[in-house]
Amino acid sequence: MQSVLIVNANDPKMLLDAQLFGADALMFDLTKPDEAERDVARILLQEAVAFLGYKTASIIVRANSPDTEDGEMDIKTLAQSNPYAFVIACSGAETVKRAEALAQEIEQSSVTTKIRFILAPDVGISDEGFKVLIAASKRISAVFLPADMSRFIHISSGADIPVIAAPPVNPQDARDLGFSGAATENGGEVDGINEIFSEGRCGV
Amino acid sequence: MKNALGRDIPEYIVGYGYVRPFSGAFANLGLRTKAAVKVRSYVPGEKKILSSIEEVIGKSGLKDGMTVSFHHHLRNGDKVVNQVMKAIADMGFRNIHLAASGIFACHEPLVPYIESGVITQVSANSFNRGPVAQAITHGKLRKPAILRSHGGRPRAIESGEMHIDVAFIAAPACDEWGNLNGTQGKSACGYLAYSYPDAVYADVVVAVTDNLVPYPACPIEITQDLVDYVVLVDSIGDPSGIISGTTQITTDPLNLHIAKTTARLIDTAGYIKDGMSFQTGAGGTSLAVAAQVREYMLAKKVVGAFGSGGIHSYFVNMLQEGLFRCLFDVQCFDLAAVRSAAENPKHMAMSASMYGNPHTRGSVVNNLDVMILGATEVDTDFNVNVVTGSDGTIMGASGGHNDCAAGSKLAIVVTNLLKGRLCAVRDSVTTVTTPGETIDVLVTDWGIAINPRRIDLIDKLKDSKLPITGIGELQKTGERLTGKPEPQKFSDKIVAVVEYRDGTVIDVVRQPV
Repeated sequence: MQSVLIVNANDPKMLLDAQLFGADALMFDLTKPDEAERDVARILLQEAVAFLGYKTASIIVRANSPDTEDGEMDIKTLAQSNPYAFVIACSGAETVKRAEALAQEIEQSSVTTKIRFILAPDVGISDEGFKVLIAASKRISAVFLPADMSRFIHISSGADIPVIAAPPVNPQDARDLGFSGAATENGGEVDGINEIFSEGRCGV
Repeated sequence: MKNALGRDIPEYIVGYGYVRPFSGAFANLGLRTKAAVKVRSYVPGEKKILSSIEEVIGKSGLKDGMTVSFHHHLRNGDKVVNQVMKAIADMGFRNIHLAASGIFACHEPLVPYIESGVITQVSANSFNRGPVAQAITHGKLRKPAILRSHGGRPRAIESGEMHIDVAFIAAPACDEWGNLNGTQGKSACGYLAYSYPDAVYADVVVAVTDNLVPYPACPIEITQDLVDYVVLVDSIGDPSGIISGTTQITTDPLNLHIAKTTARLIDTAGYIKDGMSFQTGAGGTSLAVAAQVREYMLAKKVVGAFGSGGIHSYFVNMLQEGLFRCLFDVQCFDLAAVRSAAENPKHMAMSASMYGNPHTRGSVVNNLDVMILGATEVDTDFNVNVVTGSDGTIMGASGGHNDCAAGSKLAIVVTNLLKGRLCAVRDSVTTVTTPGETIDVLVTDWGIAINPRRIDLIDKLKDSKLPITGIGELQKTGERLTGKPEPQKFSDKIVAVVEYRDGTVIDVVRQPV
């Protein structure tokens, strides 16, 4: 997974167009809509996944923090759509553990594929805190980091967890820094990301 | 009767005449005779310069029922059509045939003349959506409008099918004997190439200028031996209006994606090579294709033979970078192109006839490798509509669409598959402008369809990573997302006749209900 296109989950046109840019993964962002629109966005995204299929890309859902009611609803609702993973913003291992418990609960009560997480750690996290974070669950399939947190790449790589660069980032810089792929909010940048990463490091 | 595309067309259309049905893109060629030209001799010392448009009209011998012609190089900044038609209306003339190469939104003042019967017929080959198009769509013109192509108009003039009684040429620089050019002066708009056949074949030729220069004007684009009268006015137009519509590269990521895919297709098909020739329209996606093709040409160190058609700053830059050896210009789409036309001898004018007239000894479109075209609708036989919206409203004319499609080696239509809430690929287009036999590829955001007639291209691209699918698949995908629309209903009233470039009738536009 080298190119990730971030899509506002409450933007019907982008939900329709997202799959056309050739991204390896589509990250549908439920944190973008205003609080009052999040219920609608969840339903819209669920319907879009059911209708459009997105067969050419992996589906990732960026959920609100599992510490919040919205975050819980995001994961519970969209787990039924069997996304590849949920992106979870977290400041510490407690949040990951809460998400882990939620995932277990969902998997026991309904038929879904295995729930995975992509962690988006807080900016202020320490090296030690990052290590604890990525060890907090076996469901962590990747880490989503801005370029200025690239110091964590070697820790993540040591745990065999790939790291995707969060926007804004120059894809060439991201590759040079050792990221496995890069995300963008602009579909027009996907080709460039694919090109730069096409020689390939480890994908997710 | 039905023409070769199965379009239902009457044998005789009131206000138009007997119909020659379209019978195939190349079925109506062969030996042709050009019309004779009426010329009035001038004696030494006789003055051509007159004091007002009214005086010119009086001297021209204009009568009710005659045809007056204009060109559209000032595009949406043009002031000549409105000034002349106001004078004609004020002088009490009626039943005038307005034969303009292009009509734009700025020509809204013509609508009352259409409603009152001053103008009863309109012929055009470039038509921007706007009040005049609306008036014609709604049946206000007494005779059906005739929509031709850029090559079809000079063919009609030179063959005598469309006889021009008085031609008015907007001249950004002109001397008192009628030598004129389009590239100098405050209203410089670039070469006046659509007006060349008017200048040669009209009974009376009038240069309308706001920039009278000392004799002789230099350079001379249209020569004094063709011009009967010269009239000085305050303004012939606003050149900033040339940049009307979309003459900027799209910023829409999806359209940029279409452009990238198109350029990749052109390259994979082997057309990016030394000596290549290329044309795009001025739409945002077409310009983006030009920008992408430029990247390939730079990377491959390719020098093309020429870029052609309406010339825009992207082609000017490519000429300056040495990516083309020259440009063939029939109109300027922006002011950078106007400057280039004035300054760069490699930026050459071509007459509308040289550009696309099928009844000549060879037009430039026949030398064209790759043409990028737009579409409002495409049907599953690759027939294209650029004239009407799906609701039947007139939105354009062919322009160079069917000329370039017929002549070029690779005619590519680029469009979004979904247009508003409709799928661009239909069972049958609302109006056919360009026959599917001349379209090679359709590139959309949801995939590429190659015309099954192009077996060579299908074979060449079969192992590429391009998203190639069938046109039927595109239609299914689009209609799954948009649903299948109810067909638009039309009355029996024909509001416009769409002529193919060879003068046969490819379709008619009926008034929507």
